[in-house]
Amino acid sequence: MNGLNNGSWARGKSVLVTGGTQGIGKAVAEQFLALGAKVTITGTRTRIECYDEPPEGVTYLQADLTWPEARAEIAAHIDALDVLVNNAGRGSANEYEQEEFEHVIDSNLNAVMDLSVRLHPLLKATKGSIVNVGSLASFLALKETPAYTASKAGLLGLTRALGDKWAPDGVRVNLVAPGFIATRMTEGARTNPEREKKLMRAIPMQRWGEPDEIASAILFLASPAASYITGQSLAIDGGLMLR
Amino acid sequence: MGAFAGKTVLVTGGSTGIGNAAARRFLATGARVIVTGTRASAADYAGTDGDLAGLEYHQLDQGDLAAVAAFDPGVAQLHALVVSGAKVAYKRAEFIPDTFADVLATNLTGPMALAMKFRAALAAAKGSIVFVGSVASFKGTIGQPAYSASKGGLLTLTRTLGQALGGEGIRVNLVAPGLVRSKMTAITWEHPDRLAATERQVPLGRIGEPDDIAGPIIFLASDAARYVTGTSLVIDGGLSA
Repeated sequence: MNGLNNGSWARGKSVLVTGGTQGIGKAVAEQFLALGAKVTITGTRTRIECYDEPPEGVTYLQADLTWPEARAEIAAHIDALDVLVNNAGRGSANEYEQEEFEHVIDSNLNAVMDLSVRLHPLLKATKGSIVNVGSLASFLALKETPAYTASKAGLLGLTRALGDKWAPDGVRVNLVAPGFIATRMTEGARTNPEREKKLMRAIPMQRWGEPDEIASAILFLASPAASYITGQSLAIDGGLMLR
Repeated sequence: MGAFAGKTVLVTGGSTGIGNAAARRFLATGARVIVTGTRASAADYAGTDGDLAGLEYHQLDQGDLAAVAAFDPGVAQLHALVVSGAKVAYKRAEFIPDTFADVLATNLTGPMALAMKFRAALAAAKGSIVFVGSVASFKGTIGQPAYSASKGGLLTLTRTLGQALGGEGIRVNLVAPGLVRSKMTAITWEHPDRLAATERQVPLGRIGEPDDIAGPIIFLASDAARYVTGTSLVIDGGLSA
């Protein structure tokens, strides 16, 4: 095992990526597929064809993960699992409205807990691992999105608690914390030159991150090269949090 | 395989322990690997856990600024600088100011001197620095004030250099190992009761091996981590989770 870029460890492994149709989740699915893994993704639309350029060669499950029934259905559908990537998440424009606040927490935190608990027996059987997709909001306040911030900070705490709880089973649980990544979620800022300029001044590496750059860190944390890492978080932000 | 083919890597303290495990992994991925150690020659490491076959060995006391200045391993472009060399003093010696200063020289001032010495070569290769910190970068270690101060300093140095060198395309990160089986920690793991007590506290149920740290070092130095800078990665089997 030479660690990086030698992906033989992933061949034939079963991987579930929630929210795998676009952005970071899609990049994760494609990197695992390229290494020969069997990849299942979830998305909210009826069929995978409803997305522009979805990943090819994956099993698609339609699921709104804020519904407990949908999570139960996913768990029932999956019979083997080596890697769970909890990537699906959302923010809202009105997070100071209580209903919206709760909906975001449901999506970004409650759904992750429930799905992880439901799939834990399968991960225990393979000594698999979980990678949660946090955010710089796991560490910093984003004042316009209190629910997103609280949910991602909560996800960091959940990562630590589950990492400790399931370590005796050989199941590792870690989190990646992406900074500003060129995805649909940041399209508003990327198409506004003034806002973009301001953001870039805050990033030592002076550029947006790409979904592939988060995916490669997720694959690392899921790999045997990270076999002694659990309950941890890894910031992938071009140095953003340094300032 | 081949991720570092044609690339040059320097690992200080690469003769034994974590540094040696990292050096061997870089070698396996095709890199030219230069290592340093405190002994006169590679042959002097016979009988240790270090395997120097295929590595370019140089003697260097990284705590000696004059020695760092004179050090010339012959690199125009450096893709990774891994600073793994470090020292620790036991039996309360680190409470003596001279010993404190000596540990700081090796564990903090030396790493900064190495970073500045190779800054141009790293920029030329768009390379990166990986400092080997410790869980002591984050918490106190009651008997080792110098070691924990040096490793805490290395963490903030990582952050500052991450800011300062980002514009040159140089990434700077830190790995923070927990208890790892090496020469430096023999005092703990060679003692069965102490080892058992320690392992009970680690969620993954075992102490770390040098190779557990080498994988993350290679990752941080690799293209897979090309948007990661100024960060630290704790590798401790969940001990601090």
